[in-house]
Amino acid sequence: MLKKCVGYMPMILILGSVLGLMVAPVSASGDVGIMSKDALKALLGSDEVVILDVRTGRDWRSSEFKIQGAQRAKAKEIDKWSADLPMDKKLVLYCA
Amino acid sequence: MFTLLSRPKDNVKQSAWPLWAYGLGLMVMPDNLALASQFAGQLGIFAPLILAVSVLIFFSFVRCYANLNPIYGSTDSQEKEGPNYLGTWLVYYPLVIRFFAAILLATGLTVSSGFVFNEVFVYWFPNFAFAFMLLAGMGGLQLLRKTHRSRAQLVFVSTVLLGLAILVVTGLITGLFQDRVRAIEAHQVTISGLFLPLLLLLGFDIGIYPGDNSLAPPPESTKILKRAIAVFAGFLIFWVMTALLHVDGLRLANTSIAHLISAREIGGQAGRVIMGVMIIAGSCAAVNALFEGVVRLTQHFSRKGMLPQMNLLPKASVLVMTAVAAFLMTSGLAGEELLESLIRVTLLMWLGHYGLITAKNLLGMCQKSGSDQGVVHGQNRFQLMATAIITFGGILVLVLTGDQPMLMVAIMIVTICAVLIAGGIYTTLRPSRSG
Repeated sequence: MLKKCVGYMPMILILGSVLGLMVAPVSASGDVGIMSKDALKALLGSDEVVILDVRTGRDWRSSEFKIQGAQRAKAKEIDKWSADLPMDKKLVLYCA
Repeated sequence: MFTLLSRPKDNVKQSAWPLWAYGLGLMVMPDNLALASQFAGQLGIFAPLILAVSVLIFFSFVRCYANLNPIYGSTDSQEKEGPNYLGTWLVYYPLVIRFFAAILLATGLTVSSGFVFNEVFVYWFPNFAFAFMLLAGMGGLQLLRKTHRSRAQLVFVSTVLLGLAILVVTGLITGLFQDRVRAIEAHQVTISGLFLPLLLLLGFDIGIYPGDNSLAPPPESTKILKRAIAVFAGFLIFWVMTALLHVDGLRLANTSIAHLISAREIGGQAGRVIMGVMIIAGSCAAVNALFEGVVRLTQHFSRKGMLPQMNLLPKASVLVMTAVAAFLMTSGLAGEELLESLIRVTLLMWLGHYGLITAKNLLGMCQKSGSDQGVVHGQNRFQLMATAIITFGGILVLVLTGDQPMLMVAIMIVTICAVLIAGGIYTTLRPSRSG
């Protein structure tokens, strides 16, 4: 019986890792809220919000829908532009 | 003057419309419509002139191709030559370029089509799901018979041209009654902008099926290809003028969706829908043409012993291209600027292929002395020299002014080295000719 459990250990570890990876992003993203499009629409034009379009490549080039007033910001270069953002305003990152 | 179907001559079967359909396949891709619209915004009234000059350059390319008869393979003696028109060391160059272009453009174009389908037609349908379905469809199309594939290609290309015609006619009728003449001015005349049209007419050589004995030899096929290039360039010229009548040039020059914006301004929601259909059809035309081009060239290389002679090799190549493109889409490459640089460098190397053929013709002409120099299908030495200089100069400019020039140069070097190594192996291992 013990030998059988040991034999299944690698599979258990792999499945456990996969489950963990699935749960981790959910738990890690718990502090970042998601805004509905209606809520964002109500804020458009307001000085209290900064909208950042983080799409790149074809995701951005091919899309006809670009929010007016949104600033383009590359997700991979967050260290470059995050320091210049006003911390007293609501920051909305838009990717789809 | 304008014939879609050639009259049969002697016992040679004529197949003009596949030549049109595949020859125009890459040209009608949506990236070209966007690029042409941006180019119009940059150069304004000069855009049609630059496009017309590009047509002359491509006429020269077609004539240089015609002079290298082996690529047509329409007679027994020409079949024996094989596709060594660039020499044995570069023999794999066209196949490698087409293969990578097929994978990269299949990745990018299907993703773009997915976004268009989602944003123009069905909001709730996931854009990537549509992209994968389209890619699978194009791969599956290659499993059908040649006739069905060719007819599908004709439908794709015709849809794009019909859509362009509708938008142009609508735009000209409504635009000419508006006070827009003053808006047609050049906003950003850059040296790279002058060479951009060289990318808009790429791909006519896909229409040539090496070793296909049903294909009419030059000059008939040469005339057909030149007509196809001229017709599409004509459509583009009318399109750019129509776009400029309706949209400010500066706005066109600075947007990635210049074609969609133009269509929207011309025809409102209906114009947007038409352009949406054109984008999806154009993506299908380009991907299908590229897949077909790789299959045909693979078959020809197998017959010549330059690739393993396996019946399933051409179909396997489609499977590989489809699978790799799907993997690249899954990995998120379509959301990276890297994909655009890869596509651009592949297309520039395709243009380089034309330049090499021109240079080959020029070299052959220069090696003859005196009165033997003659002309190459109506071109003299100086015309060939001008074509070669503009082509290679254009490639250099477009690389240096690209977003990632060092990356593009590195890719070019690596690709050429790989081609030379493969060509060297073939040169060493190929059976020696007898007699």
